[in-house]
Amino acid sequence: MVPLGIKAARFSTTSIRSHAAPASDNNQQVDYSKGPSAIDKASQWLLLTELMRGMWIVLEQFFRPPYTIYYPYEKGALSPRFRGEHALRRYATGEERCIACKLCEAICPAQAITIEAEPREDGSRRTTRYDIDMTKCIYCGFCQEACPVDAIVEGPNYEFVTETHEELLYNKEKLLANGDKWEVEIARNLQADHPYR
Amino acid sequence: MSTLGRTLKNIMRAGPASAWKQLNTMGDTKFGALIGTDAVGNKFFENNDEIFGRERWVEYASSDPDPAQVAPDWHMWLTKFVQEPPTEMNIQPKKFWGEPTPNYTGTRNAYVPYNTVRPKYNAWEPEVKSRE
Repeated sequence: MVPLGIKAARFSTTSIRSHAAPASDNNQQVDYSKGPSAIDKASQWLLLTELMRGMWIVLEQFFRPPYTIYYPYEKGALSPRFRGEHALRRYATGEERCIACKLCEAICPAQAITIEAEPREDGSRRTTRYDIDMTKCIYCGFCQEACPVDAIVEGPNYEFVTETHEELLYNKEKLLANGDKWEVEIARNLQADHPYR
Repeated sequence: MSTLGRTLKNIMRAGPASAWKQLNTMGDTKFGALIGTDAVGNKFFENNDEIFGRERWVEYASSDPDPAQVAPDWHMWLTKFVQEPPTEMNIQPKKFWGEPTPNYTGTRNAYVPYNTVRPKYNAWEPEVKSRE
């Protein structure tokens, strides 16, 4: 206990330590009766044994084979649900799936999608403009979840780097071309994920 | 390069010529079964005794390797979407399927965005009335 005179001198009635630490932890005296002796500790400190043990672990790792994946020759495993570059899909007949319902445009949190639609010559409703700003997109996958006809999907491709910004402003033709290129893989991934959808 | 024992072992198994090529490109020696070759000439290998995550790899035909050179059917094998290679998949391509294209950025074939709808407004074309 702190004498009353010292408490008064500190302008406080409680000890400062008791604000932060549990009351049982007040004893800061280290018990050296069980544990290494002072000579042990001094020798460990003076002979740098901790340093040597750490360097031994480094040496062990040095002679072990690295777990580095040598990209682009090897690649990490991906999930069928991987959300990469966007693509617009087609039906097996070649008819484009998108019906311009604009659900993806509505749900897109980054507002990266712009859609304009008008009836086609045969009267069916199709998009005339389907633009995705890939630099706005945050790849959340809401668009493919919102899509009622599985038209817009996020494909497995993440290697679409470009040298300019404008190449990432995808329009409908580019998205359809992506879909045509990646359809073999997209269809397989959708099939793999089908029991969970 | 990885450990000396692994490197020597793989040089012995893969042969000095392919090991030299691997060291010049990949930077590591590997040995495995040739699973297939795609249309461009990329060779795909597999060795399930390898370190985890490194079982499947590709040796690019191009001297300037780019992962976009791998066609989608082999891409899904390489990234372990599927277990069987596309040669065993009985893929029946649809008429509308596109050709696998590399990444054309920085070349003349690069994608340039364009408007797919009619322009909604035009620039003002002032007509000067002739003086009377």
